[in-house]
Amino acid sequence: MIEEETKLNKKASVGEDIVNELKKSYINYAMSVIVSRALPDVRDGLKPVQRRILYTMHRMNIGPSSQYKKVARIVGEVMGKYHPHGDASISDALVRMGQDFNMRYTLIDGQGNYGSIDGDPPAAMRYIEARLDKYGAKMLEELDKKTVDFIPNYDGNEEEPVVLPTVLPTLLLNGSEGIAVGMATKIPPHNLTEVMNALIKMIEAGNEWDFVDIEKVDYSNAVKTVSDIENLPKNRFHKFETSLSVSEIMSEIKGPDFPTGGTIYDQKEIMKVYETGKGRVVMRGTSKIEEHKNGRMRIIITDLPYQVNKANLIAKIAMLYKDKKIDGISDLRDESNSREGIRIVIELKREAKPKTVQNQLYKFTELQKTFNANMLALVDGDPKLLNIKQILQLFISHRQEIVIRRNEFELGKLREREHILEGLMIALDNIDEIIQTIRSSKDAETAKLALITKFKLTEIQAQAILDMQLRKLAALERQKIEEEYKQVLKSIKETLELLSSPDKILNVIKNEFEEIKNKFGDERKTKFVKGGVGEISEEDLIPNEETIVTISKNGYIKRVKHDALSAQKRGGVGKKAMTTKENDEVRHVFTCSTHDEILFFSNKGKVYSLKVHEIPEYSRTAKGIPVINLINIEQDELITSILTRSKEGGIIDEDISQEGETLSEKQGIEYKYLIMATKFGVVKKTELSHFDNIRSNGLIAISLDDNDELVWVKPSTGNDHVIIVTRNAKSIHFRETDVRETGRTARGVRGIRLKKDDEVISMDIVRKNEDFMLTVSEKGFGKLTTLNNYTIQNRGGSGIFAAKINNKTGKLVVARILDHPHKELLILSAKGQAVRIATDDLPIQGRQTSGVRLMRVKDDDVVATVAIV
Amino acid sequence: MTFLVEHPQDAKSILSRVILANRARTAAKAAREAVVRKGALEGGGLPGKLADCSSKDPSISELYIVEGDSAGGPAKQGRDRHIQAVFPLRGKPINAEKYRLDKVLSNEEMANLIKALGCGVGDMFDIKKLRYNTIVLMADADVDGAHINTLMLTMFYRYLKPIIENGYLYIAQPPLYKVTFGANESYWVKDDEQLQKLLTENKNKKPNIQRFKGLGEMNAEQLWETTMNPETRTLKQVVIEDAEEADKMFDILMGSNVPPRKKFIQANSREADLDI
Repeated sequence: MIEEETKLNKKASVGEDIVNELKKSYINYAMSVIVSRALPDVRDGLKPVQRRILYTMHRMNIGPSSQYKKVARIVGEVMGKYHPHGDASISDALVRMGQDFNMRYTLIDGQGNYGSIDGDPPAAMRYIEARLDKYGAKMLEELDKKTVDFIPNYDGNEEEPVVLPTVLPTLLLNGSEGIAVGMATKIPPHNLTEVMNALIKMIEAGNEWDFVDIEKVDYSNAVKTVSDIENLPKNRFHKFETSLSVSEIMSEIKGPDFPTGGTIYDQKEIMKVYETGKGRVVMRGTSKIEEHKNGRMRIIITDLPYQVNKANLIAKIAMLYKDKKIDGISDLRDESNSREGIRIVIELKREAKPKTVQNQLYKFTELQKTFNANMLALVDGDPKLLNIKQILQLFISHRQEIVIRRNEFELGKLREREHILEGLMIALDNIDEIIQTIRSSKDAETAKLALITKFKLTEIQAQAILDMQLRKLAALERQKIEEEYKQVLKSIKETLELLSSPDKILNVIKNEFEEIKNKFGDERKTKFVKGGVGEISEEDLIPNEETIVTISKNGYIKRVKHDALSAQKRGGVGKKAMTTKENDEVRHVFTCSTHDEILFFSNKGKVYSLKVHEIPEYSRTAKGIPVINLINIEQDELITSILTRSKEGGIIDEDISQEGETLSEKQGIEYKYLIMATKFGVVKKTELSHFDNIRSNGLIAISLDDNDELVWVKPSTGNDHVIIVTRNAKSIHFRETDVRETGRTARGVRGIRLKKDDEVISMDIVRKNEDFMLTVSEKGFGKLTTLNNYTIQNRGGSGIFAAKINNKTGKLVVARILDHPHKELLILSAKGQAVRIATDDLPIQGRQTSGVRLMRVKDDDVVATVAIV
Repeated sequence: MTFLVEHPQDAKSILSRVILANRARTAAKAAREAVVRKGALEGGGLPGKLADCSSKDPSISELYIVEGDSAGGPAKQGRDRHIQAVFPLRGKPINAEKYRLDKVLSNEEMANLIKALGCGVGDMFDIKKLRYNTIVLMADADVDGAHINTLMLTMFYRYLKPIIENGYLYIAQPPLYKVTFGANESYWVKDDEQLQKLLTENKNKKPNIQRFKGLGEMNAEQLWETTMNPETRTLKQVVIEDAEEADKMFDILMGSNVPPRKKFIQANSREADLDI
């Protein structure tokens, strides 16, 4: 089909594979953008359009002390002569070089509206004017001394420099930013004094480069005129390498210095940027909290991170306020002007916490921003990712070339002058004959030839003699020529010495750097903080409040606001939160702080964690959401045990929470271990620290036998006792030290030997010996027994009876240690019956008794659970 | 609702199906509208930008897709209006590799182009309705021209592939050099061979050779002579030699994954023909 079509179509003389066509077009596009559009040269830090603008202005003589010229005029000149692309892109590039919020050291001195940090656009190029700023002009000095190569422009009618000689390391001073194809660059700006100090330090440490691959030039013969320089070998220039390490360089260059001020953080991260060329620098604007006359607080922002648009920032704050992401703002004003600088005032409500609002501003707005450095620049036309050392080395190498070329040029000029002066001196020695010769010549050309043959002069010398003014014949003038000749010879000698000594050249460079530093150096604008900014965690943004978390039997979880009035004992609140929904009931209730973390242990032996504030807050009557939406448990996995952990690491278990101790009471206890127990009587002791970092998909807390389930997890101090009670009313009381400490994923050891058809219904930690054991049976019989009735045994035995059970009482349902008297019990049956009994009314009996009837349970019903309220 | 909340994994898979189906629907709808919307616009549903030819016979009709700002005007002025239509592109076309069809068609340039072609797109594509059997990409020989060529090739390859498969897609071959002798004598040269020949023929004159950059450098008559005249022009026909390779290359160069692209650029940087 294709071939047929090709034959039919005689118009096509070539067929081209789409892949080739695509590749060819793409690589042309990509490389052109990389090499001649988006990336700066490492030596002068300029992209072609910038270089062309500066060069054009230099050619137009629009220096720092000349009049401003219309930008449109400059753009026209740049476009017509060197840059055959859109005028808008040239004018944008020019304006950017004149924006003091983008450039640390502006290269262009602008007149008129050059745009603002609010993102207001600059005026059209027919309105605004420009001239070179002192920094821009400095970059162009030495350009007319053959210091750099020139190449023909796009139409071959003009020439343009491939790089500027610049004594200012502009790449680092102003940074650069560009998106090419398949790569991009982002280099932060720096402080001139610091960069100069680093360069000087590097030079002082000496050049470690081993001078390979260069051709030595004998300048005393090679350069007689300026044009001789072109014949010198191309590889005569020195490179520069330093022995200094990046951290030694960093003792001078602390970090980026942004024109907008602000603060940068984290020496380690900055070091990474400087060592690898890639990394993140955290920047913050400056904001302070201030008390207003009326006692209210306000936050004043006085500067912004680099490249943050102020108008957008304010809009963002307003939006966050509207969306209620930031609370506590009562007013927001931008009071900035050009005389006093940036001033954004954020008035706070009386009840607002200023520090929290400030943190929220850092977290949610660009008041804190990261600068993602990626220091890519062109080295000999190839894009390279560079570290700071390479950039500085390449800059010194560049300066070596420039200084050598400048001196070669000067040497050429001196040699030419020497030559002429020698001619003039011959003329003055033989002045009468010279005059005679000229007078007797028919015309100037004859005179010249006569001079050349008669006095062995060169054509240049003869011409110079012919051009000589008569006043040179005065006696003093002759002396002047002789003095000049001496001076020239001296200069030649010096220049030759300089050119033959790489060290002297470096010294010249160093002195120039010193000079630049003294002339242009300034204070750092961006503050530097050695430490990291510290992740602003959610906690910094959320007030630390007491809150109540409930989890239902069906796995619905919710968080309820702690009523201001009920900042009393938790038991009381637990009751109120217990409004259950159809077919569901509250299983776990506990009070904790929004900054706490909840550890969920599942029947499958895994543990998951969740920050309390991540649990959605609901009204008291709401159902909540299934916990499976918050943690990565499987659909058939059940949460069996819960602990909360405070930010400081203090562990609280649910019972403690329910029995109504205040947080402070328990936080004193240093828990070291978690004791776990399974349905089949396995116990395990594992150090708490194993659970410090819980992955989002959970950690294995215990390896379980088939069909076994992890049900109880309690914190312990290492010297506690453990009591396990089974359904058949067996119990065992042993020392925690009896259980060997095992790793996180271990299986554990036998806690109690179970008979057939028995299973563990409770594992508890004994905290005080005088506490009671509460047991309740299926049919509603219950009692308290003092714990000293439970003798301590070795673990792993069959244990002793905790209660007497028979057909009348049914098996045990509940066994738990009651360490806080004067409470109420709420006994719930499987069918929803409920009874409340004060714990003080419970009988205290021995172990081997059945207790009394606490609840009358119907024949087809059993006690399901007991809550302490 | 309760079920979805209690079974988030199931909910996720159900929703992803729904989203997928929705995407397919919007793409189909966009494709349909690109065709159906006709009539709503002036001139029999053809986009106003299209300078159509008078012939209605696809087998002899040609469509020149030109880089708008520089060459649209001269192409319209210089063309043979009986068989040659001109469609000027404004700015850079959307990258078809990175977007789904509905998004591509929401780009006005592309929607207009599809309308101009007449053949529809996606499910509605019908090669029989194609209004031109010769479609020529004509872009400047500079950076942006090269980029536009890659973008247009991507569009045709991804969404109008049968046009390429039928051999209907071509790339114009404008001259590479402009050689001037003295004040009045100038030539447009198509390739290096021709350049050498011209230079040896005119040994005694001083040539001024200019690497040709933009179509806009020519006036209408020159553009016709050098690039559009069916009698004298050269067209490059785009063919797919290895579909697998082509797929891979479009993915590397135009897709959203950067590292392979970077690798390609590094490996081939020396072959580039730079526009400085």
